[in-house]
Amino acid sequence: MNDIGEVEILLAEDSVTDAEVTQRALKKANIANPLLWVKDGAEALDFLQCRGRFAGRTCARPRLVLLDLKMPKVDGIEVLREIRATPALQTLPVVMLTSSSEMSDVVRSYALAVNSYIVKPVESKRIFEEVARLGYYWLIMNRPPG
Amino acid sequence: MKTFASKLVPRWSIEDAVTAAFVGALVVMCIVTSLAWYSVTQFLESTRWVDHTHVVLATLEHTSASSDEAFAAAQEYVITGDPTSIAERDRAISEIQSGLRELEELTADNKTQQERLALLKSRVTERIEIMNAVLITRQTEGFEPAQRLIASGRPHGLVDQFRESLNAMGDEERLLLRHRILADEVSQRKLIAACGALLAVVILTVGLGFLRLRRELHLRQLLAEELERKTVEIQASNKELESFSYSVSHDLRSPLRAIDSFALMLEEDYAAKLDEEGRRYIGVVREGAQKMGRLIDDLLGFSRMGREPINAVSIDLRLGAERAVKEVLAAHTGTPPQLLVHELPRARGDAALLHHVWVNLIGNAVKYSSKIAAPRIEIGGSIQGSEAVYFVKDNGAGFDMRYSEKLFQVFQRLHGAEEFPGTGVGLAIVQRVITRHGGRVWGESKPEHGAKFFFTLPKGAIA
Repeated sequence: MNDIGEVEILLAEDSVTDAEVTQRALKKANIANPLLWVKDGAEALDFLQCRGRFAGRTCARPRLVLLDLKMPKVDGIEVLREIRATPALQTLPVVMLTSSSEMSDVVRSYALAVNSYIVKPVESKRIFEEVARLGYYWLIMNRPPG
Repeated sequence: MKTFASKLVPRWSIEDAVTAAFVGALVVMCIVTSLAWYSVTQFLESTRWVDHTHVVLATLEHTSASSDEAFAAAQEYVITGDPTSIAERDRAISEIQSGLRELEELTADNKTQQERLALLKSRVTERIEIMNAVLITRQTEGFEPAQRLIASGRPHGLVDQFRESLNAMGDEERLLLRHRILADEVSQRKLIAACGALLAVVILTVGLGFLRLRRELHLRQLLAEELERKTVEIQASNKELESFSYSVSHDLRSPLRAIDSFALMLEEDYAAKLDEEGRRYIGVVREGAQKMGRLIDDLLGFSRMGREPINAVSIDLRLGAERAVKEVLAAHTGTPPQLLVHELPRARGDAALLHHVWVNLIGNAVKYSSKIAAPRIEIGGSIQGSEAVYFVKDNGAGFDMRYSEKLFQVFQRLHGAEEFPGTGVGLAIVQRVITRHGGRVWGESKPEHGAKFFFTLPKGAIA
């Protein structure tokens, strides 16, 4: 499991159904960029730092990280903090994709220089719409650094 | 809790009690000070009297001595015939006279002494005359006749009378002094007793005041501790509530999203394989999930209304109402109602929190009047005493006043969701926000005759 090929979108999401919905929504929006789904913050950091089971992969940055806030082991805020504390990852586009609309979560994320904060709606039609828009904006419209 | 509260509301407020005690103490102190001042003046006066008496006594003594000297000098002259004795006698006489003048001045205020002094003077004059007669006899007739004149006893008798007068005056002066000192002592004793009593009153008042103050401080300390404990409790329960609503928002929404999303995916991918009934079931599943999502969102909103801190300033309620009207009408489908927003008084409140009040009340008015031909909504307000009272009135479905209590409870609805959609949280939010502002909220209605909802806020500054 050393070479996992090129990854453009890293999706950190502990809920299997949410991850499936997000991936389906991106696919339906014709965003075919290669996506890697990890189930917790620890795995996300292992991937980004090219360590653990991702040691030895071609260590390229993804174009976009989609982070859930509440995850086992290492939560989204901690992942974001470590990303911003790592010089090579400081400019990496990170979008919070979470169920929490708590203002404290929003503020904490922005304090750590998050690039966007999206609250996942409950209504399925709106999820599909919003994920599609999000993918379109960050992967097609937006010009990332580097 | 009731007994605790009643202990804290004494008949007299602590401020009144302390003020009364200290004002009382101050007044008494003033009285004591004046009395002490009076006593000191009295004492000085009586000291002056003692001095006066001593001066009188000394003058009497001196006059008496001078008189003896004069007599002795005359006797010497009779025996020796030495003219220096005459000069000695004249000097003594002039001293006697100056002494008498002095005594006259000193006893000017005392009638008895003046009478005695007159007697004394006449005796002195008499004595001097006798002595003169003795001296003349000595000069003209020689030693023997003069000696006989002295031996006759008359000059000696006069001397005794003179001394008697002097002693009587001295005794009178001493008696007067004793009376004065006695009177002074009595008044001093009375004064000391009065001062003592007043000081006792001061000590009692201040002491009682102190005890009262200490009790009050102790009670306040207890209250502060109680408050502190309750605050910690409330903070703990708020924190608990916060983490609860956090998990509600995350953990409950996630499975709901799965239900709705997978139902949608089922519809999208397998609709062709299902019949009409199957597709209807999917619709029911999705509707249920979405409704639960709205309930959770509203409940979270309700919980947040209780936790957000209130930042109360003087605000323009009309601006808030108009902003809410725009927001409600933007989300409204169907015929827009006729809306009338009157001038509204300013009030003290948190504009962000009160926005939820307006949105819910105006939203309800629009919703419950949406089924009649000409919906009409009126928003107004006025100042009543220390409060500003506002209302939102519609001509819609209204409600039965028998259930008006239930209106403001969470998830309580007086209309079916099929008739008018909603979760039953809106008015609970309104009540929570208004109560936290120190206001009241109530509704008046008759079924099919519209509803009028009122709320009050503390009156705002004029500016």
